[in-house]
Amino acid sequence: MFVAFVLVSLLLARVVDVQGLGAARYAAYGNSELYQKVTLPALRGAIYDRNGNLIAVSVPRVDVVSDDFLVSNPSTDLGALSRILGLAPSALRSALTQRRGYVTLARQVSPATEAAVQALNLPNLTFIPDPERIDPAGNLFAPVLGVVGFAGTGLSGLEYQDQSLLQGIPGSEEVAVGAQGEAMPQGPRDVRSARQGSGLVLTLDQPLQYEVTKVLSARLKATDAASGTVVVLDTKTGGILSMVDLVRSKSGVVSPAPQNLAVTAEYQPGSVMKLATFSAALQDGVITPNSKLTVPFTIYLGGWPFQDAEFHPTEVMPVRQILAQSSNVGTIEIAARLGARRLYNQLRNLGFGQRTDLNWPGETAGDVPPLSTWWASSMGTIPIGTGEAVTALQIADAYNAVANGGVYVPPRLVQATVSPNGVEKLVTPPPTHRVIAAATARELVPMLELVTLDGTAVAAQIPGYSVAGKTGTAQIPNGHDGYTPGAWMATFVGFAPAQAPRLTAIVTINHPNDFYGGSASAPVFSTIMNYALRHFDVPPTAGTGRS
Amino acid sequence: MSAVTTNSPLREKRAPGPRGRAIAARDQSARLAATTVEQRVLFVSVACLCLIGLPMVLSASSVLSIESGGAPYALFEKQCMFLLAGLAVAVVAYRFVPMSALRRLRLALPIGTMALLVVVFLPGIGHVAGGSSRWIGVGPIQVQPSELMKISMVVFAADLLARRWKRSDHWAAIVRPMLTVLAVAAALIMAQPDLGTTIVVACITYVMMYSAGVPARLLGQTIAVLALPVGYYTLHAAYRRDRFLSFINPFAHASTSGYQVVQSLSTLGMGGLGGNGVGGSAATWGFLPNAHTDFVFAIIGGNFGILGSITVIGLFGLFAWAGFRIAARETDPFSRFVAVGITCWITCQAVINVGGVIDALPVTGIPLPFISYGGSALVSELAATGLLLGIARRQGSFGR
Repeated sequence: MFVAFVLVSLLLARVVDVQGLGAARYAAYGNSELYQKVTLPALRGAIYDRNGNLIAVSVPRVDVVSDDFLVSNPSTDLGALSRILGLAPSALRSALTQRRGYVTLARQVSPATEAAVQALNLPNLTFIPDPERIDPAGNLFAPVLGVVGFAGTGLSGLEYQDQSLLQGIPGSEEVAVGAQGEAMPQGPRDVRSARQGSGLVLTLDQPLQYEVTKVLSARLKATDAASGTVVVLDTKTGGILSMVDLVRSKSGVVSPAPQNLAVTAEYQPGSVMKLATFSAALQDGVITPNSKLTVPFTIYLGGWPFQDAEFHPTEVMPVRQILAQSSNVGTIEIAARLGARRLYNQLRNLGFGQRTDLNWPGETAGDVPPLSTWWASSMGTIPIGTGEAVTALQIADAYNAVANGGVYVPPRLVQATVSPNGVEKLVTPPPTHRVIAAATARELVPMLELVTLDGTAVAAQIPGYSVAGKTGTAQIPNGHDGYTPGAWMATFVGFAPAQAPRLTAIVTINHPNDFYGGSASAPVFSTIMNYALRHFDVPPTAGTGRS
Repeated sequence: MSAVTTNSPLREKRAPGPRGRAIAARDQSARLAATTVEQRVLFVSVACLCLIGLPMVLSASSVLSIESGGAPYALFEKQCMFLLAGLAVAVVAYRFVPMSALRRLRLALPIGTMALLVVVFLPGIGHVAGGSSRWIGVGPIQVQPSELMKISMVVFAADLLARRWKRSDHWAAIVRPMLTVLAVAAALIMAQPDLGTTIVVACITYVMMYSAGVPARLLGQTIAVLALPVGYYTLHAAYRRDRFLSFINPFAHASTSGYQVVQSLSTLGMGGLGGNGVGGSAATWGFLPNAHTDFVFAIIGGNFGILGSITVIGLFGLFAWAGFRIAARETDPFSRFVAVGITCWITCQAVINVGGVIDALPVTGIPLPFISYGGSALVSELAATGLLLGIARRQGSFGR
């Protein structure tokens, strides 16, 4: 009796130990075997254009994965599965017999397909969440948006740049799974809901993007060009209304560029760079629009000849004509009066040689050689845009500063974010700063307008609107000791209406058969701006109407 | 059966029939109708254990039943049948089996049981399950003869001790014949093999000898002598050695020999103080092997928490208290030793089972009395309870 009492007491003591004092430790072991953590993927935020059009959205999809170790007889039920997944029975059979344990049969199938496959009740199939990124606008915005890889990871473009905003926060939960792998009836515990990613509202305008793509594509085909880039800016805000990068294959097929060439590709811009020399010289009083210079056809710097595009005898040219006719020699003469240091400072001042505020992944700063590396001929190459490398967006921004009365407005692509519960929050624009004196900008506008009225870019005229702008044509370096023969970059950059600018745009066409910027790019500028000005309800300029 | 009608007044008034003394004793007790505290405690504790056991068996077996292709209630329903059969047998043992009749079976019971233990190995009649040959039977009814060995040993020992207890310090009078029968029984049961039942039978034998006044020194010497071969046996077979050693630190063998105990401890720990509710223990989802049989105590602790565990241990404590009190006040030597033997059997088995589940003792693989799933054990335990209550009932009629 006493012994029984002692034994029972010992048992009770041990029970108190196991279920009371030490319970947490034992329970932790049990729970670690029982509960399996499951990740709840967060749905990626959507991307909208300025009008609220969806241009990128994630939809729930699953990958159909087979554990082929579980298939004892792959020939059964193959018919139904192959019909649903659209796979040939032979391909399916080989996929199911790879003996690897994890074979993806189909990627990103729709919920309807998933339900149909689940109805087959095949024990060897697993469904792995793999949301698909869909671009409802086709590939219209592809170079800007970039690529989203597996598991919702942005790999390039905006999808990469704003990954942390877009991806959201994945949730998790712990589900109880029985020893044989069966789900147990109690619900999940420790549920942390996934937080959907934020959406982005861009400054881009889908109708304009479509129009620009259509026009540029046609131009690339018409000129047999290799690639082309167009950026259209909202002059006042710096918002990018359209950003199109197209490439044309040798067989003539035009498709979106693999990257956003407007910021990732640097090139020798040619005469559009004369803006730096003219703006600095006007601002410093070195010249006035009416100053006259004696301009020969050829000028030598450091032993190198610099010539104008078309032969002319030595003549006296007013400054505005030098710009309108895009005289290289005249520009070099003005630069010589300005001096290297002031020219260099103006290049930096206008944003060249620096990445823009877009801070785009893979964006290039371009190449403005440091002053210490300049040598005799640099004062010939750099004023006319063959001694430096820039991006299309940098040029557009510099001309946009002229359009804004000399104030540099940083470019922007994202105008607002949309929280998962739908609250839109405007993105604060980067601060603007003055780069050209207001008086100088006022002098420059009519000079640039003259380019389209009686200069190199008559083709850039827009019926009903005054246009200010500049052409640029430059050879394409071959990468080591010179230029590729017959390879040109044709650029036109400008804004309209010239007196009250609302839109600024740049068009670059790489390797057109028709090589002058005026003839290759200016018509594209005219066509898209003609559309854009009406699209944004910009009133026509008084006195310029033709029709 | 006649279990219900035996208490009817109609049968009370019937003249003593061929069953003579049994009827007479019953009539006498019915007249006095005095129940002692021990009787009530014993009855209530066993009733509670059985009633706790049924839903625990259901909780522990429903997933298993479904996975083996049956209805979730398949094993539960069988256990209910076993309980009803056990109750019928208990009533018979309580009302209709006088000690004198039981005593006449002092040789027939052990010899018959040993014969059945041999039959276990006969192909066609014996059945193998889980690597052990423990069952005999034809068709749906299967019996575990080793369960019978316990009551057989009790009856044999009680008779021997009742006759010879005055010569208790004589080796040849008690210890030698007792150990001889134990050795034969142990050999037959170990051949199955079934270590747990062997230990229970040995415990019954030793405690009964001790209660008869056999000097502890003499018993200690035999244990010391036996310890050598038993120790060798335990540590020789690899699976027994692992099983024995893993109880010291089961978590070091969590995926091998310690798996079951680790799962059991986890279940108890997850039950904690408040329990997970009936059916709430995850262990029944295939984690804890033998959850409805040998490890049902873990399910109780998991479902009801520490309160459930303490209640069940306390109920066995009450059973032991009542059983030994009944034995202590018994004047008839044979009945007294039967009472000691039965109480010791249930108590030892409970302690060894619970001790294994809570990792206080090595796991030996025996069911928890009145609770674990299994017909042979439940029926024989309820029969023994019936005998014990019968002894107490007669004390009530004569003793007061």
